[in-house]
Amino acid sequence: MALQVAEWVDRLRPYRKRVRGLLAWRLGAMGGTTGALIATVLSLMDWVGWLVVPIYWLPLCVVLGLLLGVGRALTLRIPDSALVILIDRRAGLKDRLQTALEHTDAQHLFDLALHEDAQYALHQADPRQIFRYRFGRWQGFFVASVALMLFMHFLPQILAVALPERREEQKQIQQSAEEIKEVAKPILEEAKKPEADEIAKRIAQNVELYNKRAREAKMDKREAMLRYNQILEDARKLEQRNTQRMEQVLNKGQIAGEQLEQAAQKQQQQLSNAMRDLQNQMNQLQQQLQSGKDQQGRPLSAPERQQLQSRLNQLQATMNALQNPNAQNIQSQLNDLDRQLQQLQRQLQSGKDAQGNPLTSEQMEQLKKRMQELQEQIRALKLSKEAQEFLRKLYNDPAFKEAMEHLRQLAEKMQQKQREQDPEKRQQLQQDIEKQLQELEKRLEELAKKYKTDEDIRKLAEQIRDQIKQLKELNQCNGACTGLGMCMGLGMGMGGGGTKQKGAWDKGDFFGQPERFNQGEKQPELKIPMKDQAISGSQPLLPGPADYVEFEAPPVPGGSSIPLSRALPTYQKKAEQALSQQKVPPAERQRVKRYFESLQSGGK
Amino acid sequence: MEDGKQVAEWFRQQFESLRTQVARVVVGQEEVVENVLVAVCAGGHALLEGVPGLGKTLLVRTLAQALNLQFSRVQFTPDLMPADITGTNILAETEGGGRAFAFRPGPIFANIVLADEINRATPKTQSALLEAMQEHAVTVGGKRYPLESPFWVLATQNPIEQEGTYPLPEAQLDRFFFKILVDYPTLDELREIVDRTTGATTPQPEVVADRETLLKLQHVVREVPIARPVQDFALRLVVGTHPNSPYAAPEVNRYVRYGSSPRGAQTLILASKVYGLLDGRYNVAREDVIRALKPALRHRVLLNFEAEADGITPDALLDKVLEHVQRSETEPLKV
Repeated sequence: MALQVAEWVDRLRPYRKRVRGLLAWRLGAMGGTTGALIATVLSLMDWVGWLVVPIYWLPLCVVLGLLLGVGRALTLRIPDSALVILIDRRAGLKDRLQTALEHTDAQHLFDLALHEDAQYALHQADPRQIFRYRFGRWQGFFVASVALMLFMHFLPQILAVALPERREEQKQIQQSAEEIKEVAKPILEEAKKPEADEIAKRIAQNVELYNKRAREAKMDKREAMLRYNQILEDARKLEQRNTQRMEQVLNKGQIAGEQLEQAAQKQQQQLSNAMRDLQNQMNQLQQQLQSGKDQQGRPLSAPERQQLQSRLNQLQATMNALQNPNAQNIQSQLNDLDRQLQQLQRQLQSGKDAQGNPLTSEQMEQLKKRMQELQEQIRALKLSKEAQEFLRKLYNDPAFKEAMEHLRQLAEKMQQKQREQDPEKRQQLQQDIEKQLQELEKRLEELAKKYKTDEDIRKLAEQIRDQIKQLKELNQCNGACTGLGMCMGLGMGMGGGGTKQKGAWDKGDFFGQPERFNQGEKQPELKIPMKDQAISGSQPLLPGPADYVEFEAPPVPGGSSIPLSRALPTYQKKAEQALSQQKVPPAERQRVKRYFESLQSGGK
Repeated sequence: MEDGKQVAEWFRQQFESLRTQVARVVVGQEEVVENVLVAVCAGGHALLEGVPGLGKTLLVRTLAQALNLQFSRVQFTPDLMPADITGTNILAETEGGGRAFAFRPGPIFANIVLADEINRATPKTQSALLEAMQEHAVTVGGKRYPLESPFWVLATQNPIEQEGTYPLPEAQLDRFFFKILVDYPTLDELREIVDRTTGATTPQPEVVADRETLLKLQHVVREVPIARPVQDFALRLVVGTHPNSPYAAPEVNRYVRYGSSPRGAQTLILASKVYGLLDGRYNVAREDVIRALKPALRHRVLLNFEAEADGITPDALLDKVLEHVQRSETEPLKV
């Protein structure tokens, strides 16, 4: 019985599975090879510096290539006709399967025999034998390309280990990278914040990149210098920008403080004026009562005297309330004044006095004047107790005064720092600002504690404290920026960037001076007045004419920064090397030995 | 319906018995004998080329004896006329005493015609075979006379002695199913030949097949199925002999004047079917096609002067064609 196509498909299933596996084996190797080659190119580009390639990209490329290849193999359609051709060829079935699959209708003489023959042949074949997993050409390519990729990635590090001069260079670069990272930590922290400055982000990125390339030994001296200078330039920009922002914040604080002060003064002035007016009125009334005459010199009648006395009492009560600001006093006084004012208003509107007698125009004028007096008293009282108290307390508080003083000083220092070019002085100013900020914070803490029950003052102090915190953060960033300008010299023992040390890269290195890098300039000469001075050491003991001339060394400004005990062994070692390598003339050998012996004994 | 297995088995038995009978007389030359039998089973004519004395005529005569068919032998000479082969109208007395033209059949009217040294006859005479070979009929005096089936022309020719010979024209060559090269016997074979032919008795073949058997053999061959890719492979080989075709090897472009005709493709497929059956299969494989390639196409590829100058033979060229086609044949799936 001839098999139908579906039956053939069923019988071919194990072969199809095997072929798919082999396809995945082959296409995976092809994809992996492609991925590894791409990774190699990326690694090369990373080394040259054309591209920044994180380390995880390399295995990612390989794995991605592998997965793509395998994925392609798993999704590839394997037609029956192609499969049977493969089986025919691999198993040496002499095209039996193809022919059988094409002749499934069993209408021809040999169709049945052919199907039986093909089935038998297929039955005899073993998919695992026909389609074997072999380590073929593509698998070889894959292994080779991965090896190439690894070699390319680790080549700089291999060179750094193999070549002594490169090893030394890379060691220095790595040290510098660690120092830069340490110094720039505040900037790196700042850059992590979402609202971080673009320059800070760029610095963080460049510092990370510098570290990565140093770690992977992919930088030479020249590139390290260029990258460092780039970081430094950005750090300077960031410092300038932060300083501007600090000034703005500080100005706001200052303006707030000044405004508060002005408002306090103004209110105090108004209160004083109101009290002085009250006092004047009281004096006038007292004079009239004492003299028994009114302002025009007419004798006072008994009711008029009584009225004057009553006004005097009232003014006295208002004055008392102002001098002893007590909520209850002020309120009762205000109520009293208000009642009187309403009474006067009623009289003025009706045109009759309290007894119902019509008012003369003179009396009306007096009533208006009286109302005005009452209104002034009410206004004076309305400068509330809390306001008076708040202003009085704050204005008279030494802590507040100190805080304001610190703010003023801060502004001055920052302006001074902005003008200053000398990095050391800038560093000093930076430290001063730091101190000022700390002091200011202390004062504000003090204020906040002292007035913890006083809501307005506490809020004010907290507001200013928050601004100060912001200032501190900016200042820390600026500190890191300033520190960056100095760290290369320290880390590498190099001449630039404000250090006095002179290290291995002293010739032609302009770390910390990007504007001078690669411009072929000479290092600036020290313009220090020189004074001849005898160097310590014994005079030659050997007889005969001396063939040397002694030079007296110039003084080192500010004294030596390295103690003799540390410097001496290095120089002594060099001297010993020079002696052993016959670099010292025979006549001078003893002299050199004695010189160092004398130094050693002096050092002890 | 007949059982294909049994039919195939019967085919192989018949083929083997024929081969055995021929082998009783003809020593060695297994490949030649097999190819002649393949041509016979496929219903095609065969041209045997070889130096004199290699048993070409003996082979054909033995085959004819084993087949129990009508056999005629024509020795081709330059003075042989077409009518000497096809037959002619003669004036003969009728039963009533009158005279009328009557057709007297020539030696072509047989089942197996041995055209010995066919290249010695003139082209005119050679062409007398054209109609008979292709259409199994001859036309004499305006009247068409069909030849009895099965009909085979088994011709021999001598590659040397070129003087006084007339190389077969392309059209004539194309009618031959196979061109079989007969080579010298080996030492052992030669010893056997000497032993058999110098003794007192000469072995004679037995009749093992008749006309019906042969017709059935031809029919069975045509029933063998062939897969499309295998057929395409055979056709690419044929097209590969055509200069400037997409499948032509550089050597073909350089040395071939004319490539194979469509008859070459038919021959290749039919011969492959016979080889397939002989191999115990019920289908045609690429190996069968390759096996049939040279005998089927070597006389259909006409080389140019440059090839002759460079000593290139059609067989060498066909090797190049095969190599080129196999190389260009890609696997449907690369695993």
